[in-house]
Amino acid sequence: MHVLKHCFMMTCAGMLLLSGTVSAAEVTAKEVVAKARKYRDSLKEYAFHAVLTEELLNDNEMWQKYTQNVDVKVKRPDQLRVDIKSAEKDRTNYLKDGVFTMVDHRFGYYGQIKTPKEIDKALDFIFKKYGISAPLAGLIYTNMGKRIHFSKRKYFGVREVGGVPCDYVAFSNRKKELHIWITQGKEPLVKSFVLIDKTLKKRPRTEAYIVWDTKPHFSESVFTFKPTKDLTPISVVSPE
Amino acid sequence: MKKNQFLVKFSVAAMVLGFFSPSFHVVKKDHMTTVEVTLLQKAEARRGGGARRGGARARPAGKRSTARARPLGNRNKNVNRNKNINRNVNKNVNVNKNVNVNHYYGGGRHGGHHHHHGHFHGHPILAFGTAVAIGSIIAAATMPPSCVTVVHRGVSYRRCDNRYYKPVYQGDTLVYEVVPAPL
Repeated sequence: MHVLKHCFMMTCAGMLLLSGTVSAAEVTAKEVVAKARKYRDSLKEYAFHAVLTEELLNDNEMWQKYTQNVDVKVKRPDQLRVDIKSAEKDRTNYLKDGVFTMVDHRFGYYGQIKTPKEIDKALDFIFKKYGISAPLAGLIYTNMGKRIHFSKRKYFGVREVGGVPCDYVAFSNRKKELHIWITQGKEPLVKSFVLIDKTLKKRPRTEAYIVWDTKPHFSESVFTFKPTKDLTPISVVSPE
Repeated sequence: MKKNQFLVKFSVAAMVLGFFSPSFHVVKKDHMTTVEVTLLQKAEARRGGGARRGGARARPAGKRSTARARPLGNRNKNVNRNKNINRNVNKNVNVNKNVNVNHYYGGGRHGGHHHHHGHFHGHPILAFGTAVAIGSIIAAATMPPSCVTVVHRGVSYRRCDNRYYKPVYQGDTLVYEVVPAPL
């Protein structure tokens, strides 16, 4: 009888402990994003291709979608190349040796700005002084966690994006809502995101789908701008 | 009799433990690994979003786990308590730092509306075709393709109907300034 009692106790105790769950993987949205940022910040060189779609209100009060194909190449600490192709734009931006160059292939113009050498500082400089935003800058900057903050966050579980299992998280504040899908595993990277503008009644969205290359082989010429005969320099002025 | 007493005591203990269901959370910080033992789950996980205990990770938000049935009344109280803690913490952190979200996650485009072409140094950016004076700024997108490029002393111009337009980047937006004919 005594042995039986002990067996019963042990079984029940075991079941209780199991139901309690030693949860080393109790995930929060903040942790998922922090892990992805940490991994991306650890990469000295990487490239990604993004299909970026923005909704804008046109003159007929209708939402119009603008799609850009964006190719970004990053070589830390000071080299960057961004190629942007869309119905309206055919542009390449270079950052090398503290010079930011915008090349407009369609019109045959290029403009140059002297900037700090390091990528983060250069991006801050061209944004603050000239109002120039690099597309998807959030995937280029290091230490993004210190740059933007949201008041609400949520982890929605695992979802497949393009056949890849991703952690689905969302962040919001009064003005914006950002939904992000981050690939699972040892190389967590942003696979897709949707940014919703809550300040406008119709809540326009910016959507991106991203394909990463974490082991790129860049030749030196990739980041070097050499003006060709068909390009003419023009000045760059601050909007203010 | 003794056997029944034992079973009753054990059931009570099991219910109490089941209600509190301790969770052990392994936290790695600055090369230190600490184990947090909590009697209550995190608010995020409880609200249906998080990786649920029992491995129901991919479950959509809002759906309840059927793996464990627990008394509901007191649990809701605990959920509310956690909610309040989160709200206080996050409110303090979020201080006007959301202004540039578009800068970080946008496509580098400026202005959300196409009702007008914006301004250049206080002057409105006009569409091509309007009666324009010297110094007026024209949106590049409205320039007709029939205009021709003229390079004079290393400076590029667009010439349309004997008027000259000098290209300039306003930030990263290409605009044209109406200028006198270059000599």
